[in-house]
Order: sequence, then C-alpha cells, then structure tokens
Amino acid sequence: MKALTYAVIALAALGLGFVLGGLERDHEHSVEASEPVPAPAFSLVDLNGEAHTPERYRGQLLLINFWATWCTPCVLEMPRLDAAYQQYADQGLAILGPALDDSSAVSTYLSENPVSYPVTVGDQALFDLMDAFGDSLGALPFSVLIDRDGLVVERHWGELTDEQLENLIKTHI
Amino acid sequence: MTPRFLSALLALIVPLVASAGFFDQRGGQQNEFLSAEDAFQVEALAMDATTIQARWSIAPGHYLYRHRLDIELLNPADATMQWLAPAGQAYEDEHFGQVEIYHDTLDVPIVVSGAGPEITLKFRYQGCAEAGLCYPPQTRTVTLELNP
Repeated sequence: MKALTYAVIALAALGLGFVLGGLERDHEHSVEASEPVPAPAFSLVDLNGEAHTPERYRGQLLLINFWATWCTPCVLEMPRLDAAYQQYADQGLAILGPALDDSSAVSTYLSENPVSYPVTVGDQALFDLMDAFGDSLGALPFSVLIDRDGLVVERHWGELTDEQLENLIKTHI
Repeated sequence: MTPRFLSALLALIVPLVASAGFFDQRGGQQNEFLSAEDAFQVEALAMDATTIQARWSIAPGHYLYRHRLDIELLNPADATMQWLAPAGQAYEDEHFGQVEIYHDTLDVPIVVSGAGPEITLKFRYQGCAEAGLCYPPQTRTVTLELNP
C-alpha cells in the first residue's frame, strides 16, 4: 500500500513537471525574454550597393536574419521569410539578411534561390553585430526583431517555424 | 524528519525535476544552446613518434559533417602527414543532400613522417545542433611533442 502511494505521488509529480515545463516554454515563445533596448548602430551594404541603417527602417518593423550558405536551417527558413516579407511588406514589415559568408557563395546561392529582401555579406563585422544584439554563440540562424521605434523587441536562435514566424510578426506588426 | 517522509519527498521531487527538464531539450533561446567549444571538443594525443590520435567529443544533440572535416600540417613544413576521416552515419541533409555525419565521438588516426620532436596541426570542422542551429566553421591549432 505504501509503495502504491509513492507510485501515485511520483506519477502525479511527473505529470506536473511536464505541464509546468510546457507552460514555461509556451510562455517563452522561443525568444529571449528581455526588456526592449535600442538597436545598436550599424550600416550594412547590400549586394546592390545600398546602405541599410536602423534609421532607414524607423517606422517599420525590421526583422534582421543572420544566415549563411553553410547553414542548413538558415536556407530552409529563407523561403518562409521571403513569403512573410511579401505578405506583410505593405503593412510595414522589412527584412534584412546579413550573410556570414563569402560573397561568391552567397551570389551563387541567391542566383538559384532568390529572395525579395536585401541581403548583405560580411564576416567578423557581422559576428560583432550579432554580439551587439546580445548573441554570444556566433551560431546561425539568429534573428532579431526591431520595432517601429527602433527597439529590439525579440531575439530568436535557431530556425523559425512557420508558426513562430507568424506569431512573431502578428504580435508586433 | 522520518525516513517515510523523506521517501515521499523524493518521490515527489525527482520525477518533477526530471520531467520539467524534458522541455529544455528543444531550441529557441540562447541559453538552450551550447557554444561551439562545448558542443565539439577536440584533442590530439601523440601515440608514438609517427602516430597521432585526434578525437572530437561531440555533445548529445549535435553532429559534425564529414565533408567539412580537415586537418592541415602547419609545422614542420617539410614533414608529411596522412589521415582519413572514418565513414560516418549516412544522413539526408535538406540542403547539402546525402552526407555523412558524426555523433558522440570521432577518432581520426594521423600518421606523420619526417617530423621532428614537435608538430603543429590545424583542425577544421563544422557542425550543427539538431535543434536547428549551425555553428560556423571552427579551427583549432594544436602543437604536440612526438613521443620517441
């Protein structure tokens, strides 16, 4: 009887743990919970020679998606990002794709897999920018959402699913 | 505190902690991922005057690509080296196609000739976390004393 009591307690605790763990994760929504902070200064020049700064996107919702051609989850989420860009651009969504990669690799990749949003290329300077956005892993993909006031409101490490991307945009658009 | 009470307390706490931790296995936030240094630990050991054993310890939930593995002999420049990456696990990568990957432990024997008492090697490798994050190509330079 005593063993049965302990077994019931253990099973109840196991279930409670799963529920609490799941609740915690849902609450976190797969992004870093932190107070919005002003975006760090940057100037990124895209493949067409145009400069992109935070000031240029003031009044828009800007999603910066750091990626590379050597990163499978990055290239898997790019069509998703492109579709979101085309769907929400007229509502104020902008996307910028800094690639931590070789220019030739990026150009070759984009010629076969074009995206509508601007892409920039760099190396250490982009790692430094990721660091300025609060990243210490240097791993990809890494996405940052900057609101219309120029505040960093979300940071996400890893591939964004359709659902996560949609929630992210709908929450802040 | 009676043994009976302690047993009941343990029955409550242990499953609670264990099952809550289950959800930490999935990614999304920075603190849910390891650094590249922790995900892929590499070491090299001189076995004798001509043989070196390189070992990558790969953290659970992570993998290395075989086609992104490389070893370069930096010094002495006139020495020669031979190594061969062992067969990995076949894996259908959605971007790279059919590749081979390594989990857990990767051992690569390296045979050198013409080296003096010391040798310097550069290791290059790249891998990902299965939770959907990839690490940039890593390099690690190691200098070893070769055992006579």
